Parts: sequence; structure tokens; C-alpha cells
Amino acid sequence: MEKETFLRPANERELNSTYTKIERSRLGARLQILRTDSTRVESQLLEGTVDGNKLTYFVAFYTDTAEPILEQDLERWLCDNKKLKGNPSNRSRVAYRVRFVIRRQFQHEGLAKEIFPREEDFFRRWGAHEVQTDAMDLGRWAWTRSQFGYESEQFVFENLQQQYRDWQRSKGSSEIVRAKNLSDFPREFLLSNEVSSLSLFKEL
Amino acid sequence: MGISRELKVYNRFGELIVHLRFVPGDSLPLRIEDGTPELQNAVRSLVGHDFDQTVVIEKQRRRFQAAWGSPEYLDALAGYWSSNFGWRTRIVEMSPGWASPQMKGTFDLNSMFKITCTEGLLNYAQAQNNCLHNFVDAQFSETATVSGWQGWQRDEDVYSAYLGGLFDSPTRAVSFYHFQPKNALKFMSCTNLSVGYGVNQGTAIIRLKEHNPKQAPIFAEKNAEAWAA
Repeated sequence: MEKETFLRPANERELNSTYTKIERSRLGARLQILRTDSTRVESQLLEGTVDGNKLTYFVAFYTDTAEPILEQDLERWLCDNKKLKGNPSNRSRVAYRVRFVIRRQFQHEGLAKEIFPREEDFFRRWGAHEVQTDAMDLGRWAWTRSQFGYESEQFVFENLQQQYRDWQRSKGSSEIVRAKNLSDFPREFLLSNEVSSLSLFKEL
Repeated sequence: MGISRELKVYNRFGELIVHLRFVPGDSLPLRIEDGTPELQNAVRSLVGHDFDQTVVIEKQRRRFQAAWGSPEYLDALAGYWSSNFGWRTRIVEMSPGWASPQMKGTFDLNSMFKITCTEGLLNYAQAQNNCLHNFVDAQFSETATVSGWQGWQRDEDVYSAYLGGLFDSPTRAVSFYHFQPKNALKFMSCTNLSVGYGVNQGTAIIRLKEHNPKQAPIFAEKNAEAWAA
């Protein structure tokens, strides 16, 4: 299968421009040095995986002095037959956010807020029903903020609830509280060793 | 009918937080025997669906997948829970007709020992006057004189009990009388004991048998080892 066939009704040019046409003026001061014409997008198509055919792509961003903005390249998978988290009886096109770690000095400058909507527009054009991710490190806190619109399956949420309860007990809390939704779990809990990673999804 | 399996999961306090049973060929192959409300809710949400969860540890992805109704479902759950939350998990294979894995522990002859069941019932077995008697199962009516127990060995859930002794008569099985207040089970039987007349060594594998097959199986808890030592 060719990449262009896999990406229909979207195409590779649209994929590239998702990341190369970022509006620098919408970013914070420290990212005004982002050099969009240095942004590099590389992709590879794998056929016959457990999630159907899969396009994996990597994006690298640089400053005007060729300094990388990310710890490692941003990585995304587009899978054409992956199990849906929101409707586990079904499989469909799914975009999977594998990795997005901004170097410390460029954090909190609005890069995620700028990229994510652009990505999701592209994912929708491609026909993805969901975006999925396994949040790790700081992402366990960051991606559970309501502004990013992620939710978790009940299985994941209830497991978290159990661990949260036990964590509160271990800290000697006099009153054990339950989280009503994902964003209720405190930062200290999510970023501790209580949970290695968090499976999240968002319907498009 | 295949072998049923059970999964128990414990939190940081050593508390049982979920107990699941896989029953092959059943319309509901995954049953919740016990658990906290949170984990019972979590497992109920899985019913009918393949399991597919990824855990990222130190940047390495581990994906746990299993088809609904497959025996590997418990392994996938156990792997996910232990790697993502650090919970201790224990999977027990159960042969048809037997309620538990082997029981082991060290104890002196004529000493009392007890086995604590998951349901909290206490069972007592007593070696009386160096004799182990079977009061229950007519198939195992021989008596055997046992000179002493040799050391128990434990390998995770598998316990090995070694009998050393001189047996009065040929026997292929030595049974322990097992009385317990709640009458949950009738006897423990030892199998795999290859002895002939006058042979004084054998390996006893002690098993618990359900008195009432409709009841939940009985399991040996680790404290059986603690008090027996």
C-alpha cells in the first residue's frame, strides 16, 4: 500500500503542513525563536500490524540556532484498524500520540496548545474516530487537564481510584476522597510512582 | 473442560483488592469472586471485550493483550496491574476437582497446624500419635505411620511437603483427617506418594478438596507457612 493511499482523503502535504505552518506569533516569548522552515517530518508505513496498517511519523522542531525544541522527536501513529477505547466492540481509524516531550526551557510557551488542535484537524480529515495516548512522566498530569479534552476508560479510571484511595491512606489522610473525574486527581499523586502511565483517549 | 484459573491481586497493605476466576467454556468466563468496589467496577467494564492496555515504564512500552474468554486474560490483567500500579498478583491453576495448590509449611509431628482459607474459615489438621487417619474418603482407608515431616519448601504459590516415614501398609495415598468448625471441606489428601510396603520415603503433596463443589474453592494463605514454621 502506498502512503498516499493510506492517508486518503487527507494527504502527505497536509500532514507536513500541520507541523510546518505553526503560527509563531501565538507562542510564548521563548519560542519566538522557533524556525518553522527547519521543521522536519519523516514517516514510514507498516502494513499488517495488530492495529491494521500503521503510518508512523516523527517531527522535529528547531530554533533559529538549530537547537532542538523537543527532548526527542514527536512521534505519532496513524492506525487504520485499532480498537476504540470509547467503544471497545469496534475498531476504526485511530491516531495515537506516542511521544511529545518539550525540553524544559521551552515548556509553558503554548506549543502543545498550538499543535494539538492542528493535529486533530488533520486526524479528522484523515478519518480518525479517536485520538489515543499513554501519558507518561509529566504527561500524566499535563494531559489530564480538562483543556486537552482527554478522558479515560472506566477500567483505567477505577484502577486509578483504587490507587488514589490507597495513596491517601498511606499518607494518613483522615478523610478519603474520591475523584469525580480525571482532572480531580492531584498533581502530587499523578506524578509520583503510583501509576506508571495513563491510557487516555479523545473522540474526534 | 479446561483447567480453571484464579487471579488474586493485593495492594500495598497486603489486602486482597480483587479475586477473579476464569472458567473455561462458561458463558461468563471471567467471574468476580471478591474485590473492592473500585476494582469490581473496573473488571465489570471489561466483560465481553478483548483486553488491550499499554504500560510505559522508563520509556519502554509493554502492551498487554488477550482475547475475551481466553485463559491468557488473567495473565494480561495481572501483568497490567503489577507493572502499572505495583500491585502483587497471584495466579493459581486449579485442576478439576481440587480446590487449591499444594500446601506446605514446617511443623513438628503431633503439632497442630491450621490452614486459613480465603473465606476466613479455619481448618485444623492434627497428626495424632504419629498416625494420619483418613476419616472421610473410603477410597483412602489405609493408615500410615509417619515418623516426621521434613522441611517445607515454598516456591511462590507452590508448596512442597515431604513426608518421611515408615508406612504400615502399601498405599498410594495418605490422607489427613481434617476437621474444621465451619465444615467447608472434608479432607486433605496427599497424592503422588509412591511408596510400597516398608518403603520409608515419599513426597506428599497435600491438597484441599471441596466438600461442596458448589462452594468457592479454599486456598491456603501464606500465614499457614508462618505459623507452621
